[in-house]
Amino acid sequence: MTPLYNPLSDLTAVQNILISDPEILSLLDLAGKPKNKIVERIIKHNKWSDLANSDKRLCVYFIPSRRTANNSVFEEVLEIDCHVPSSENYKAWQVQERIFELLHKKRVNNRYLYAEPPLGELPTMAGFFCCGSRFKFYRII
Amino acid sequence: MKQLQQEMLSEAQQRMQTPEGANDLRAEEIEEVAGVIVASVIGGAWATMDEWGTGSLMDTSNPALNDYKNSSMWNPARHDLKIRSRPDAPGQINIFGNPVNGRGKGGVDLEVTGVVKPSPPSHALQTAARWMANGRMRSKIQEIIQSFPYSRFIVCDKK
Repeated sequence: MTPLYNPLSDLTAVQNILISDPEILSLLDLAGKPKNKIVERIIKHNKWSDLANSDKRLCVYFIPSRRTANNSVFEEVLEIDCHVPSSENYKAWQVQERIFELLHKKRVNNRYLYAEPPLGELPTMAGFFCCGSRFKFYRII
Repeated sequence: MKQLQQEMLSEAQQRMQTPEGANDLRAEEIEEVAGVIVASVIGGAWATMDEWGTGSLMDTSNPALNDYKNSSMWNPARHDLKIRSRPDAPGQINIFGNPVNGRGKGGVDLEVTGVVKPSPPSHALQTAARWMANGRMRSKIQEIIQSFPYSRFIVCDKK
């Protein structure tokens, strides 16, 4: 039986979908790279203050859970931010388009993910560009 | 409203890049000002430095930056944005309001010497507020309206 509270496996499931997609790997210049290098660039937490040179990075992470009217249900929100050099900002949007195709209304780790309205550009290092997407699901505990 | 305020506080804390910045944020009492309900999340110096960045990496669009530069808290030997040593001069205070003094003329570039590292702006508060305004408040208000117990406030009159 699937554990009810398993945020790490949710993150891992999403990360596995992303690192298995050739289009995303190509956009992030990771095609053909060993898996240990790929998971250094498609990470399961939010960190971008060390970006340098031509780094491209996908950060998959949870924002704080939200209460619902039912105490047995959490509203969970996964955020996926794509950081790329400013000169290649279009690639960040292409990555987000692909992520939407892969995750919106898809069953991941036994839960359906639903896209939230995107916010546009997000903060990142000087010389870089970032845009993010959010996917909501409900966790019954 | 309290829940939305708490959500914003939690998200802003998560987005802060330093633990000092995250710990420096707090939720204010919700109050009504001129017919508008106001829920604030505020922070001090640590949160400000995290939000807007420090040293050569700071965001100069900070609307309070000029006031800070013109205050007694700004290092008089700091002629640019780089973090520099302070001079030996009386009457200086740091960003926390504590008395501080340096050596000689000051102005040594502490970023180049590696004593301190500049940090990029997290814009944690601004980003959290943008996410909240981007549909979250509306959905919460809709949820409240849908679940509001109207029947308790409706009186039936048989006349």
